[in-house]
Amino acid sequence: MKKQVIALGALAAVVCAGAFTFGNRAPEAPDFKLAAASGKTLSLTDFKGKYVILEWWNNGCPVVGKHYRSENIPKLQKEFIEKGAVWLTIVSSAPGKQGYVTTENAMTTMKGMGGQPTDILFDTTGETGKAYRATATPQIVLIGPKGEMLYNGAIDNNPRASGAAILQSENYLRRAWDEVHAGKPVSTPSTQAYGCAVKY
Amino acid sequence: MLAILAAVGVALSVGTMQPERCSVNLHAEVATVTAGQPFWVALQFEIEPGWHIYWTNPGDSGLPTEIRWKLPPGFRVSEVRWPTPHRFEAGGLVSYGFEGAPIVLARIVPPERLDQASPTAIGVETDWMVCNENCELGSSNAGLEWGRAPATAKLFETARAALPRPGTALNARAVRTEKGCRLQFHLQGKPEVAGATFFAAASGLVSPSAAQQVKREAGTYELSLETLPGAKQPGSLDGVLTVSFANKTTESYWIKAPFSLEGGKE
Repeated sequence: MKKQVIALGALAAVVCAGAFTFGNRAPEAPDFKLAAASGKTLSLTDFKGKYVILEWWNNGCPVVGKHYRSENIPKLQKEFIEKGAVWLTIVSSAPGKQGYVTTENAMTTMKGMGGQPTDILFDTTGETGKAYRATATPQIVLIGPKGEMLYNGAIDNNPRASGAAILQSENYLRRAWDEVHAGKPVSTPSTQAYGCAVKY
Repeated sequence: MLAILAAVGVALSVGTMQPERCSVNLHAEVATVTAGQPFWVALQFEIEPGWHIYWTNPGDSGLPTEIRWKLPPGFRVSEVRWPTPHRFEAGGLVSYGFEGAPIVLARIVPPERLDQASPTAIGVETDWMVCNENCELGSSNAGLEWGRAPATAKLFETARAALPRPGTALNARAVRTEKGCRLQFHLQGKPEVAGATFFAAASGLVSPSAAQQVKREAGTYELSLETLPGAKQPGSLDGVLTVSFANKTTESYWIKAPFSLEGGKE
């Protein structure tokens, strides 16, 4: 009798925990076709077989500034590109709004902030940002070699207005990457991004 | 002696006067600190018109406003009460926060024994992100100065009127649905409900920008909420429910709605 009760309890717990969460299979990342700072037009499908990291960027956002001035994002870009990933920085700011950059000044602005992504994409219509539910800058997405969405959300567990130690935060991109490369499922595939609202 | 010390008086606050978009002042509801007698302090923000700061759950974007108390040894904060948040919408995204002069209340508990010589300096450090269309980060220090007494009874009255009321009488329950969940509640002796907004206390659970529809089913109100991808179901749905009535008045409640298991079948 006691055994039965325990079994029922375990079942109820599973049902509850699974309530709003994704299924076991990672959903497919939405494709895009966007003009890039390099002059190319890039699609997600161009990078089949590689890990792709998307970073939503607004160069005027103080939270983004904090992650660049502390060298947090520049170091992540370098680290993950060296690991073989493609790092695409996306600007979803509408023309005239904060963070909007032209093809001509995008890379100069990025380099001025110390950044070194693979390329910068211009999502002028905001369509790609909305397809990924990008709400804030910085927001980070990790896509697997088959185009599967592995992580989407905040850069780390430190949504602080104070200059609290970014480098002591738990970085969610690295956590997801390490879990995938250890053959484990991503423990938290989605979190709420923090920072400035994306300027659609 | 005790009665005199506990009498409701007021201490003048010494706020920082920085040329910032947001400044903070601290006020106490009592004139003197008495050993073992808890008292309330009010942390009043002054935000530049058109700008807003964020609630503890900032919504689709933003950063939670941080409060760090600086208390003498033996003192502690037993409760912090935030006013009812507001929705700020831009570009289809919704954040939760405050504009104008929001007041956060905190209950301070002094130690049982108070050394006359010991300092009773109470201070607070705050960090915020303040936004209109664009955002700025800022911080401020404020402290209490005891012994001077301009009347701030009205300040505490205003602060309390802006707090969500206890919502236990609403007997709220949460039920899972395909897209998220439904918040069920009861309101007796009130005008007909015209609309409702739920502000989830936890970030990353309920979509702030998804529409929330209220309907009435046999004496029970039901508010449909969309949950965010990857959100894990908590034991109860906690947060502030703001209800607008047919007579154009609004009321806000703090609710804790346990999830009913039967909802799992839907």
